Amino acid sequence: MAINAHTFKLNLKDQQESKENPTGNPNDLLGNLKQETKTTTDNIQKGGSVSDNLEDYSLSQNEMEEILLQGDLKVIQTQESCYNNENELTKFNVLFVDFTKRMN
Amino acid sequence: MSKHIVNPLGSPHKKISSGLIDGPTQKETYEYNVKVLTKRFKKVFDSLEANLKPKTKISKRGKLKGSRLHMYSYNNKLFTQKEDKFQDFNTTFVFLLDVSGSMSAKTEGVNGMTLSRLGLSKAILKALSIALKKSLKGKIKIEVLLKSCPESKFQEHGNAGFLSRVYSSSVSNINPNVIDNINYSCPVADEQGNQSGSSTPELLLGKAVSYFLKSYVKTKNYLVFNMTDGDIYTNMSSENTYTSWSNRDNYKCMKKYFKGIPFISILMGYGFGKEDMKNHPNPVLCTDDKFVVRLETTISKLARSLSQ
Repeated sequence: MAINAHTFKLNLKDQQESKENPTGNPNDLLGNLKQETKTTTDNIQKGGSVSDNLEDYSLSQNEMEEILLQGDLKVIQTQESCYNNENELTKFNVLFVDFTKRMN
Repeated sequence: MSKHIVNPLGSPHKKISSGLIDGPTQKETYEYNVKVLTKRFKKVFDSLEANLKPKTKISKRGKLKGSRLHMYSYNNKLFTQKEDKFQDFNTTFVFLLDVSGSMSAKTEGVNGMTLSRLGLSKAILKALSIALKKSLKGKIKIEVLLKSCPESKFQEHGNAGFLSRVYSSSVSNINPNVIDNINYSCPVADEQGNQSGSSTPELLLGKAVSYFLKSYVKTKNYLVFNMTDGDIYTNMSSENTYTSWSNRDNYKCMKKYFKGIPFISILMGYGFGKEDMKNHPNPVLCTDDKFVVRLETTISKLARSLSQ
């Protein structure tokens, strides 16, 4: 078979695709993607379910420490210079709290 | 007096030191707004879904495409396969909601009904959450995060800011009804359970938002909506100093943390002049009487642009 410019381009494209999906089977790529999505969803869903009763969500010091261990609370240290005083950096903390994980 | 963290949604009947809480008549108006807005949003997304055409791709398997048969000797991609028409909607809408006291100011909801700015924001978020669960196969996710800053120092963190994730359609079994319980408060309470009111930290929380986007958002695309009615008004600092933050700092934080991120500022109320608008990225000025229509139109346009 004579190789013309058109075929050569197609072959190059095929090679490129085979790097992304070594088996060449589009179903494998889809399968991997599905598995990846499932794993992500499973991780997200670890938070559990929400109950009708929304009372008693106050967190004691111990519970707060527990949250810190679980990673639901993240203390993010920040520093910004104020527009009115560019030369001085103000340090402050921002607390990111994920309450969706506690709604079960 | 020691203070601890509480769920901002978990104590609707407890005292809030700012004294701001929407009353029973507001509740009825709120529920009516949710009902009407859900129908409106669902209509927008359903029509979008109906107009979507499935895309086809050339493949090695699928339906034989006659016009490619002549290539059989040098190319085995002679077939067509239909692609998921919803794949472009793999998107998260991240809403950053201001829960400061000024959000208690009255505004106009659907059919000219009066309710608080926060009440209307909640109605829109709840309606969107319900509508998106039912439409577009749930491909567009919603995250609701509250921006707040307690009125006094919190433990060793000083005047810290809070970014609270309170609703996510990615987390299973969380009912959009939890949005009802959002109030004008910080997730900090004293020993008696009195929750602190909140000042307005705005995009000074930018670093925490970046952390959230990197660690929690799993979709291919995301859009950040900043819902606010006012300027930065806070004294965030871990030291015993007073820092006079201004909207110029809001602009700086936007440049620093949201570069390249699709970001829409939903500005509520009448308090924004032309100069103020410059400090908010991609502003949609929603003067109170046009708020619903403007937001509905913006989201509809965004959703349509995603499908192209």
